[in-house]
Amino acid sequence: MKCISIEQLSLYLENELSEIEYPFINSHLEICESCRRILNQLKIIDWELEHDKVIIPTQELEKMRISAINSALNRQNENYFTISDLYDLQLNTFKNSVSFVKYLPGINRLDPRPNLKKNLESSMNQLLNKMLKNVGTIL
Amino acid sequence: MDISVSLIRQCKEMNNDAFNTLFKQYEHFVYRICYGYVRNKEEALDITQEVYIKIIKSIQNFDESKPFLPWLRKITVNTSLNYIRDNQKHAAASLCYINKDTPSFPSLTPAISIEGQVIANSFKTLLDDSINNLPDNYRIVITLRYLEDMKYKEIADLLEQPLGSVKSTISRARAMLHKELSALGLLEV
Repeated sequence: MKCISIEQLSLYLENELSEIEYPFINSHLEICESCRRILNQLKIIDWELEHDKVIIPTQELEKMRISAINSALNRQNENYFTISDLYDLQLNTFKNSVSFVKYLPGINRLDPRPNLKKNLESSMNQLLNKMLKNVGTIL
Repeated sequence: MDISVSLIRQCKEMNNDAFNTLFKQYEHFVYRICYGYVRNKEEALDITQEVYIKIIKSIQNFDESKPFLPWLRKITVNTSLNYIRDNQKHAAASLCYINKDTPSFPSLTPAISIEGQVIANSFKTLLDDSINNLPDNYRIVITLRYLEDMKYKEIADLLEQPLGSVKSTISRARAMLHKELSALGLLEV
């Protein structure tokens, strides 16, 4: 009779075979030393796995636990980038985009009113602020 | 023993002490599964930390009227399975202490002497290395079956696999361990 496969012996060890298979396997084990040896070796592996102890590194676990909780909870409370940050960023961008006005040729001679340049910039900034506030409201 | 509903509610309020109490109660459980899967202390600590962070991020989704342990177990198992190992950290199986003078020993010998303890520790290390060489799915099933003492049906439900598949995984894993350990001469009977 052909020897029993290791997988089948493993299922035999766990009582997971169908009832009909047991008599055949038992009678084969009575006459086959090789299969008996393998079955005993599987029992050794099973015993070792059953008695496998995991050493718990208590101090390291505690240190890691405290640091993981602190860092995870702090990250929850931080606001990396909010609407107000976006608003400030956009305002700065628009301010920079209108700063070219002071370099317009003849801007200083266009109008004798000394504050025209300042007024022009200020008006443009006011207009831009108004636009951005509307955007903020929409968002 | 499961934890109280009020502790979970405090955790949902992102209370630092509540999380500390919660994790302290379950850290052995989490670590054991992680270690059983990777067989390496540093990696097991890494995975445990990832589990903690996942729990903190998803505690709001947890229904406190249900038991906490199965939910924790599922997160731990999934985090372990998704863990990408840094190959440099992964210890290769070391056979340096197996030489011609090393006796073949039956592993059931109680380690009452120093020599016995050294031999037992060596076997444990070799067993760890052999388990490490198993495919991912085999390792998690072995861990849940032997370290967590779970029944086949429970393992099948947790991993969402058919029952027959779990049974054949265990027997194939044993067959692979048998092949490795007998090649090292450690199963002489």
